[in-house]
Amino acid sequence: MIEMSDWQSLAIYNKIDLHHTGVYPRRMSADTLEIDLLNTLDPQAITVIHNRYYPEVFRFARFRVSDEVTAEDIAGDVFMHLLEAVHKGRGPDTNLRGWLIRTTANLVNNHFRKIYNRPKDEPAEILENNTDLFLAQNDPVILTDQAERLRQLQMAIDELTDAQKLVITLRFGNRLSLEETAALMGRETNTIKALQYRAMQALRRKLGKEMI
Amino acid sequence: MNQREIDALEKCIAQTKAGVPIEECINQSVDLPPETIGILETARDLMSLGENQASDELMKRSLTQLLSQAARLKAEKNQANPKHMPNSLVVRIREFLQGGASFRPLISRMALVLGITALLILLSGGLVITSAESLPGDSLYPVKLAVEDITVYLVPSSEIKQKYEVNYSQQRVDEVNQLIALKRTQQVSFEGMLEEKSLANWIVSGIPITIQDNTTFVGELKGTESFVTGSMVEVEGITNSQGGVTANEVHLRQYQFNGIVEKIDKNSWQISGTELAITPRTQIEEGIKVGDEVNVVIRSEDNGLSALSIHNAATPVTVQSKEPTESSDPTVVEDLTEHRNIETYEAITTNNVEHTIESNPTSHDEVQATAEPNAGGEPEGSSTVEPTEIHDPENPEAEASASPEMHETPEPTQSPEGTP
Repeated sequence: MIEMSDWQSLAIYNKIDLHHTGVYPRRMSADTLEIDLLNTLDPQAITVIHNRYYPEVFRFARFRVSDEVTAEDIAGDVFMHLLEAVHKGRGPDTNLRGWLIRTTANLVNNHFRKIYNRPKDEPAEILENNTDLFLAQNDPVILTDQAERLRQLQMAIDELTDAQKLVITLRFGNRLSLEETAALMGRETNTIKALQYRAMQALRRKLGKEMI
Repeated sequence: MNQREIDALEKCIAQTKAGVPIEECINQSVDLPPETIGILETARDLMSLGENQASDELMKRSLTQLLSQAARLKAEKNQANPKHMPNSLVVRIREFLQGGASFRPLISRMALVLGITALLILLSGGLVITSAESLPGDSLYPVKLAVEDITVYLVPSSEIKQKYEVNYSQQRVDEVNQLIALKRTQQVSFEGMLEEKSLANWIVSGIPITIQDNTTFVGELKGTESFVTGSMVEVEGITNSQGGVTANEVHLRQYQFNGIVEKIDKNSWQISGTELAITPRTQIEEGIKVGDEVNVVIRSEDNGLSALSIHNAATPVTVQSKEPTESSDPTVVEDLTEHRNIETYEAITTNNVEHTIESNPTSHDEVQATAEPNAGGEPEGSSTVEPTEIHDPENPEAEASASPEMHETPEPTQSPEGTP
């Protein structure tokens, strides 16, 4: 975890006038400092933010989509969106992590909509579109039962409600605790527990049908 | 659904995160209904699905693209806001004045007055303000460098002088980024931290550097051996169309090594055969004598080597870093702590930061309008989709309308991207 003094050191090293961001003295915390530094588009601040959050963003995307290339594209797009938003003065105000996760979720949903909205796609083709087309057909990864089961699981996750998808992804993809998930989604811990249980019941039902 | 089953699921997830195989938990849960066991098996698969992590290569690729885009946007911002550079000059003059106020000796104050007078004469012409925006290759760029030299020369305190030098050094990096963003091919020279190093591609302070067969390396050892990530290097080269700099020459400027103290003089020390100049900014641990093994952070200039810090190799020491101490570049710590816990040398303290924060309250209002976030703004990624359920303190209405309890069945939503 980056402490506020580290961000302050970064600010002074990069001669960033924190008043120039228009935030002092109204607030001061590690979270807001990183947003303030981000607003300067300073390369070192961006490097710190990228290295801090990229793994989390990538894991979220990779949990939902079946191939690494797509997950990489989505994770990269999330940070490009962040820069554009900051540049236009529409970036996050207080919760950078939440902003990034929310944007990742939206971009993943957009990715699936693009696939589902292709008029000529049959369900089989949809499944095909979600496999890694860069792998050879006889690749052992594709042929294993485990890989097939996980692919079906990803398809099943995409059929959950948006809230259920988020809970499952944050809990199992990003390995967040119940409390962290609840804080990020702005809900009670017990609500997250119930939401997670319902999501897993739904997954079980869907996977049961797939297997039949 | 009952609480017992929910708790069993949560217990298994917690155990799995702690390293216990989920099969063990499933085996222990034989008294649970078959449906709950099935759900635990699903949890096991979900755990497998979440094992993919971003590789270092992936992160580097993403960061390079991101920094390139940031440089473009920053250049656009600077072009749209021509007051930016002059304002930074004003800030520096203010810092100069504040720093100078603490000097007691008359001679220092006289030097300060003379310095301010010289700066005011230069500033009154308007030439300096205009030149502050110039980039390498511009006709006014030499004026900008001259003003910087004068400023550094006139500063009576080595601490403030050092701060200025660091600032100007970073300014060279910013200029290169601007040239790259503007796709201008130009001879440049800048100093920065070596962040990544492969055979033909290096990254120095976020700028991709192309190494050619004829690139010259000036360092302690032959070739590129002494250039380790975390070192400060100076790159001379030409900005290229690939968004980086093609290096003609790379100098090793700052590094550290362990050696035995062989000779101690007032103005120089000899450590393991290397003659090092001692300057007012050199930090020397007390009690070091001839024969001791020491760790030295060395600054290499064209006119010779000087010591930035000398510490006894046997005692752990932490030197204030000018780099962020965590996560900006973890390799810095790894490489530089091979022998000791010393990061890069620079005496910039938290007190300096506090001083800056408190000393400049006036610029707050100038930029409030541009920095104030859009209260109802959605992130870019959400522009084409319905709100998701993550708590958004800026937009509680959207969150309320997207309550999962209200939308148990997902509704397909058309997006512009998804429309054929």
